[in-house]
Amino acid sequence: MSNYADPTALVPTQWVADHSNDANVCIVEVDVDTAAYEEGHIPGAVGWNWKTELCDTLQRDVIKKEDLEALMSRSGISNDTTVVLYGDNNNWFAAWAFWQLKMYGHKDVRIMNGGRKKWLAEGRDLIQDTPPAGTSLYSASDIDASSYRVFLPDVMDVHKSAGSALVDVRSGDEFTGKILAPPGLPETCQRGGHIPGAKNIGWGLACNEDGTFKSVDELEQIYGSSGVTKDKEVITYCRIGERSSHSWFVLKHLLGYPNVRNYDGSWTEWGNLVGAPVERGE
Amino acid sequence: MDQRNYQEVEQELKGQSIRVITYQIGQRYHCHIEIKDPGAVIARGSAATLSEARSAALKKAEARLSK
Repeated sequence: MSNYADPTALVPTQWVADHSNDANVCIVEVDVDTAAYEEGHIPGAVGWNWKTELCDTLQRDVIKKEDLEALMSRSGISNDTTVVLYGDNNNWFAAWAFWQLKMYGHKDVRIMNGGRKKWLAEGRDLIQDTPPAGTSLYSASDIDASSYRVFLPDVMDVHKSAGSALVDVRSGDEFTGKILAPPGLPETCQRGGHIPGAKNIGWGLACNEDGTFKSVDELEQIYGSSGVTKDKEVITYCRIGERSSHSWFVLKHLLGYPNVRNYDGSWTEWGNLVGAPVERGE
Repeated sequence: MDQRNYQEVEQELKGQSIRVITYQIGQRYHCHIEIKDPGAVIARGSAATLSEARSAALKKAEARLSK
């Protein structure tokens, strides 16, 4: 995969087709639209539901360690399995799952470049049968959020610092405060706008029309021209943290930024806070 | 299962730029509608014909964007 900083983090669709029967590889589909998997998926792929299986369903949080262990085990994933994630919307929630697996220390996790869109566009086979439940016994590490995730108090401090860069990856209309949520999606915040000082670099700018990621040169131009450079402490955010995990993946694994974290509280946290500073407009 | 005839068309709906994505899996046609920016799927339709799948998805999308 070209000259990306972490060339093992991405695999092409052909690699996935070649490994769909590989016992050491588990292909996992994670979609925004949770009906897509049932419609048809890559032969052998397991489906994960981001709304029920990749989060704590009681309090707002990422998946709990014991729930991740159960999910991985019933998916047939052991600690040495190569996990290849893909999904719709150019891998929004595949990136979300990737980010969580990294926090829990899974060694070999990758994303299929181009996601579900590219697989469909290439006319590759799909199946509707689901694989039998796995019988592996997965053991996750304790969560290591420190280099992956950032919480509200840190963002409150960091956004004032000259050595930091906040990247708001939502659409332009969400960033300026013209709208509270993307059209057709629920409005889950009280105020529109963005965190003061944030740069608006939409997540989709990192992708080509076919859903694959742009080249290193193109990505460096996109982020560098907005002052989001490797020497800075970078924080990505969006509305609920999934689009920003996509941009986190780009900055961390494709460009090799050493200090980039995802603020998954994102605008649904900040935009509901009493007294939080908000900027509107460009 | 055979999957073919993938197509993406951009158009306007209720003042929003949308992508209408259609494809066939086996004997069934599928359509989903994405808001172009940020790219979220807002409606889906499946039917025995392409036009039925497309109409069903567009009807749901229009209703959702009218709220």
